[in-house]
Amino acid sequence: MDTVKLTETGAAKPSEIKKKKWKILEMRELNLMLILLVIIIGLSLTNEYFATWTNLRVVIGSFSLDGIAVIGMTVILISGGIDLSIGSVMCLSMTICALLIRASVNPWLSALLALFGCAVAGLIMGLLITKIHLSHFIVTLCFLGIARGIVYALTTGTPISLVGALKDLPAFRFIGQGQVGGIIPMTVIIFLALAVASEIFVRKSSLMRLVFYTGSSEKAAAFSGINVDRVKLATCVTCSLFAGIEGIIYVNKFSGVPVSAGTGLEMTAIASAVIGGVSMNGGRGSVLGAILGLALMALVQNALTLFTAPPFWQDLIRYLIVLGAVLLDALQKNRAIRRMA
Amino acid sequence: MSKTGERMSGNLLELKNISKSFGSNQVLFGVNFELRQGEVHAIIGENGAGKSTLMNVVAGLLQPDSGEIIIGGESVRINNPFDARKKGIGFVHQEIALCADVTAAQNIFMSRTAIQAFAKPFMDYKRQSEEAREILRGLGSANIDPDACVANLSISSQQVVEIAKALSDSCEILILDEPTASLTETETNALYRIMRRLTLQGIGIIYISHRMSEIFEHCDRVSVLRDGCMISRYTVAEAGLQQLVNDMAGREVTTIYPKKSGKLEYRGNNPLLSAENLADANKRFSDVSFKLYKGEILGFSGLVGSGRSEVMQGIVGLRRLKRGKVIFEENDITGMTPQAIFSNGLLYMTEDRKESGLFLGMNIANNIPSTHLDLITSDGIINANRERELALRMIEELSVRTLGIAQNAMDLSGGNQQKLLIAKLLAKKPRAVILDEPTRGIDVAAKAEIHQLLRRLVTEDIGVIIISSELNEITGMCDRVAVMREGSLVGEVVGDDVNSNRIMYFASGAFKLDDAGGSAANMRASA
Repeated sequence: MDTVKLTETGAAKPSEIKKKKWKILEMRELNLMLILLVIIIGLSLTNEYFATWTNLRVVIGSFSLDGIAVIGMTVILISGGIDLSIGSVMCLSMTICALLIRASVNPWLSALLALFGCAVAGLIMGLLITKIHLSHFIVTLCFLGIARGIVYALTTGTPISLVGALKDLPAFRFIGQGQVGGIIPMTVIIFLALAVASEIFVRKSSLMRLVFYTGSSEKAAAFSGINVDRVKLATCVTCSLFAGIEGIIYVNKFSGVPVSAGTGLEMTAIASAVIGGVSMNGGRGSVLGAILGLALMALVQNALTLFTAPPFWQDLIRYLIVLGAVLLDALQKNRAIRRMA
Repeated sequence: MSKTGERMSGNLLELKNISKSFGSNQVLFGVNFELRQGEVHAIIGENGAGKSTLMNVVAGLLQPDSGEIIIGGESVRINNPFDARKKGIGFVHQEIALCADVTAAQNIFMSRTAIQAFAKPFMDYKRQSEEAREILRGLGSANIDPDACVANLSISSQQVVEIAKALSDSCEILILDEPTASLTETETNALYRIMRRLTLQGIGIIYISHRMSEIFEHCDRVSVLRDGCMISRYTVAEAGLQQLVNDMAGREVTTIYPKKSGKLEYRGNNPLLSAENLADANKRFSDVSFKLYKGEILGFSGLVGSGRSEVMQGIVGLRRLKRGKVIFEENDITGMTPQAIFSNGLLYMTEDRKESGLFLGMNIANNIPSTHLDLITSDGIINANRERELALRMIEELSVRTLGIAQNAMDLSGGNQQKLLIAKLLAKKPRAVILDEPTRGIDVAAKAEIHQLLRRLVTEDIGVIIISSELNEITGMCDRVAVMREGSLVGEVVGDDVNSNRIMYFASGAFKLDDAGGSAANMRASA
């Protein structure tokens, strides 16, 4: 009796496990796709304007812009953090880019410098979070004000117009206003390219796996030899950079900077991510889910406009729907847990 | 302890035919149980046998599907934890659940405050503190200041506060769930004294534990639960260790530790790992030097808080060292990052699988390669097939009991979580491993498996260091034992000298009396 009988402890037989297919789509993503489908069918049946190209282009256009910031938000949420500053950082990117172009700097260089500015903002936030151990919430809340403050200081509060300047820059203008093949907006193509690349990166790369580990349990990650501070720093920079990219396209598309651009972007991005199944506690989420969440928000917004809902009711209705979507999912999850336990 | 059970025959609590299922999964099958006045009645069973479910039924956290709960001769329904307290049931959970930022007294009277919140909207802190002092004195713990903030109390004092909290309403039935898991030897003895006091007052104690020695020394009766059924009940006097172990496992399990390596000639070779004059930047230890050789299990013993874990974390770069040098396989690894040290083949396994060990929200396959992502990565992309194969290989090797590798770590039982933690450690064959409390809080069968595995590792020329608070484990497993006390290495015991007396002689500080001319024999006897 020197050995313990190991077989009887019932380790699952490998053959049994292999049968279980690895899920490609999470439950939440499937649910969202169904809901979206229902809404799209419903809208096209009840409203004659919905399925028109003019309407869809507006929806997809704004969706493609905000979608870029949502990607960054997804990454930082997975790491267990949050970034409230993205709206202001986006506007900062627009302002830097626009001011440089107006000062006759090469537009591509201007864009790069603007992105660099955003990366620096992200880096400073990340350093405050990792080295001084301030919370994401506090640091990014402060930068929500600071970045917006810099915009006001630089512009003295007046909108910048680039209508004239961009006229002479057709190549640069193309990224925001161009249409491939005469119909598909370039912004949509940029967004889709970024989204697909990010989704693959989030799912498959080992770097992103480090972010998942950190978000799932920072302590366990550190004890597994992962440099947690570096991971958190990188996600802060990433999130600011995506906000910056959105800013560059925005400034291009609208040929200027309204100084209030990006206000409330953080709310849209967080709500989208949460609807799409990204965990606020970190460690779970996908770009696809978050983008589907944003699609839901965008469609609801569009429906409200099409049915000329009174403007002062729109926020109320929109966020009730956000709450509903999250509730639906939570209820379903609770039922599943009860079944399993 | 108290053998008063026979004197008072009234049953405080009776459970009749309790069944409970969650969905299609039945966890309790017609369980019967009784608790007499003034007795300590142990409930033992492997992880997942249904002990927690049963206790949660008694504590009102769960409602049984069928069966009867009888308290003081009356059939009752316990709707919620409040209800349970009103009926005289106190529950001290395994993990301490106190509010760390308020005083001991405020914790002790938490539920009373909640009940009276509207009736008495203003707090009388002074009276509360005096009453708390009274209760603590009754527990023989007058040294605990009721006005002290709980965060500043030691773990054992916190546990006493937990017990005081359970007793603050007129409690007759006290449930202690693994109360000694995080206590030192001395603290454990203090707890036994408290238990004895309580039983003399007629309180009945339900005692849940994995440590068999505790049951034989401090309980009156023992009931064995296996797979949701009450298998057997003995008075402790008539129970045999092997019988209890077999009842729990439902099969023959050896409780014998695997054979030690026996020969000590490895000591002449070059050491695998050597630590020279290590000192911690935060002063938790200083002047620690030792060597680890290939093919041996080196134990680190000593009381909780003696700096054992800290030394090891210093060695692998998880803590900053102030001084000293660490040589691993003839390379100086002092000051390297944990990542670099781990990939060199020197690994550290944490004592706390939930807090710092596993990614509880992630699945088994994702947990295993977390230290060695390079195993499953090529060109920066994770190969899902390789990840799956690695996971399947590891869970088979360690016989992790699971529904599949897509199951979340959170949903595994304690023993299987611990095996998963070891799987994570061994995902890539290490050169040396340091295991901090490798079998804490897991059942006898899983424990034996892990012990066999560790011995097997050593035969594969890996050096193993075990930190353990269980003297049995240290003496049963280790070829050599280093003993720590208050941040220093105070002694080393080798080969045939590895026994609990010898170790306690160093760990308790008795050797100091020896040096001062005191009687070592006395101290050894009392240790």
